[in-house]
Amino acid sequence: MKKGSSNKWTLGLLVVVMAWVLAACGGGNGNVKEAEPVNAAGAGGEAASKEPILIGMSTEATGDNAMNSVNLYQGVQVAVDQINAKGGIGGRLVELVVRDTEQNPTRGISIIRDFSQKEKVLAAIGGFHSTVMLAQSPIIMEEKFPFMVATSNVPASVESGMPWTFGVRMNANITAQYALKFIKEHFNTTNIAVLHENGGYGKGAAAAMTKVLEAEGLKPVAVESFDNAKDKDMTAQVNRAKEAGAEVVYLFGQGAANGYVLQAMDKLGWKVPIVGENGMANKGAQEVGKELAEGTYAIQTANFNVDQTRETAKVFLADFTAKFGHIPTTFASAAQGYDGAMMIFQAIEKAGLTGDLAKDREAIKNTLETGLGSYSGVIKDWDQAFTPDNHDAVDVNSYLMCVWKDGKLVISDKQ
Amino acid sequence: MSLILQLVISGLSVGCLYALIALGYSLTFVVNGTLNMSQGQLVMLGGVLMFGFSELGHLPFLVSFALAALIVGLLNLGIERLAIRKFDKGANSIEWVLSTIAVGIIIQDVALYVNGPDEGVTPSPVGDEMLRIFGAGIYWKEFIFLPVVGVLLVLLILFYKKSHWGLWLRATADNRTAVEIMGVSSNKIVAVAYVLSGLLAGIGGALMSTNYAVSVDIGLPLGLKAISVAILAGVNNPKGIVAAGLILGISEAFIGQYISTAFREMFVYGLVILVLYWKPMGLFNARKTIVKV
Repeated sequence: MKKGSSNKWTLGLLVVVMAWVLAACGGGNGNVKEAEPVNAAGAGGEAASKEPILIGMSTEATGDNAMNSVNLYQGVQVAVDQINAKGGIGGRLVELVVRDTEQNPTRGISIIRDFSQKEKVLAAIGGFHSTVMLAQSPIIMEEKFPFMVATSNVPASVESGMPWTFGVRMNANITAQYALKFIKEHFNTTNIAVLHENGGYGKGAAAAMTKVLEAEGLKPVAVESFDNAKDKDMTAQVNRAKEAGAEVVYLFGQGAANGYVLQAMDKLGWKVPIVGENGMANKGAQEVGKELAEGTYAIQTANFNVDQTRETAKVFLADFTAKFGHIPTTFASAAQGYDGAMMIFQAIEKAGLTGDLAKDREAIKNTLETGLGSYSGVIKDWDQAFTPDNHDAVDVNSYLMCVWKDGKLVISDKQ
Repeated sequence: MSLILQLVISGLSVGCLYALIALGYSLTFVVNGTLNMSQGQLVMLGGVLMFGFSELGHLPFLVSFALAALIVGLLNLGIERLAIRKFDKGANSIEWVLSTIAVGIIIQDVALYVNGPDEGVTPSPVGDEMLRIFGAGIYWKEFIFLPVVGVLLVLLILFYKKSHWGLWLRATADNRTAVEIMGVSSNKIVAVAYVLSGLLAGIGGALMSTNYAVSVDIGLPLGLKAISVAILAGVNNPKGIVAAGLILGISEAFIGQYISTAFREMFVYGLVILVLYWKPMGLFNARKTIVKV
């Protein structure tokens, strides 16, 4: 008797829990669902009946970077919607094959294999999380399909003999050159402390800043690292940077961790200019740091808090806002995701598809390198974004220095 | 001097957090020998709910706080019923390890679906001002952690000592069969322990969200850190757990400053293992009694 009633109870509770989980899933707010087909409402029936063009989308939907990574994915979605609304490419709709790397390099690698061998995508885009991207790059070279790196800053994922990866991202080496010039010009110093998270993103930035300083016979006065997901107390790192006599902090953590650095600086009564990149641009740093974030700099390639001057950017922003109900939260990633995807589409269109997967992939790669032609993007106008020797579309002139002002990231007066 | 003081007080607020979460492990471990491996995710849930109620739902601070704690407490009642009771078949059973880990993963995934991956900090009612002690700084919103943990510890000890539920809890910890013979349902006692443990997790998360950013993925690392605090202290001694939490928080700050920030975790866990060599039952474990209050 007792046993029977206890089983009934368990069953009842299970049903309730399941119902709750299902309801929760149904109410999901646009998080990544695997292999979600993106169909445009306005596309003709003729295009819809043909085989879709598959593009891989490698993203981070889980983990401490997910909040920023989703911007890249959303930027790509807007590009797909726009191209499909025009009837697709050569009468075929574009469909994204979406995979979540969970910030796990091993999973990232199997996603690349999956894209190439199982899903048979023509090309892919992604590359937010640098540690994952570093692991994926050599596999992309083996699998031989074009991959657009749209955020990860690590130079090696596109440079150093990687014929199949292309970057519409802020390459850490170029960013460091830009940042050093900015710091010298506006703060009149080269006493820079690098505080960075200990993954690919932070390490790449630290190595790049060290390299550009070394080129001038200098070095950073301090290089300190922290664990982005675990460290909450940054007193030790900040104190060492302070004692080393740093006059500017080059800060490369992600979100909240940057906020903890600001708090530690506040506690130690140390106030110097802070220059960061995407990690400084997202909401987490602002949430934790609050008014401490005022006046900190974030290097970006776009800014959507201000009126857009570029035509493509205006349309992009309108479409983005209509689709997601808000403007992008990490500007650069959204803009780079969009421009990267559009460049792939343009390359596919120009290359023309034969139906032989290996040949088509090769043709898209070659077109990106030599035959892409001019493209007017959200970030800027390109005459020919890539060459066989240079796979990075974002150069030192594509940057936009942004600054936190009254809780909003705006374009800095100092450029 | 100021730096040393700064390291101590910086370590204290993180330490309070560890202590609060570790107390939750202790409550359940003493009654039936189970540790809820999803404790970290429950703390996360408390924090995310707190932020949701207070910032997105615009409920008053204390209401959000109470709601977050209660919901997590009640959820833990369900966890006990579904993931513990069936799998806890006596001293040698380990099935509950897997079932509670699974629960943790489910909580995190559902939270991600509902809440998304955003990071949020709940504004603290004490504001963002800083308290300066001989030049070293601590935010009031962190400083408040100390009295809150102190009060909770006193309440917990009073509960163990003064209430009949507390007595039954200690009795169940001592000899479950004897408690059953006396006509008290030991299942109910275990359930009460789980609700209390959930309340502590909810409070921990809600409190944490006033100074640290909470997002759905903060649970696991916190849970692991807290479990090492509980084991380091000796799981049956609440006062010891609070002390160990503070010690661990402060050691982390000092290791970061004087040894290495990159290998901070390695040193911390290495230290925990060394201590366990020296005192296998934990620093403050009291062997003679089942719950040391």
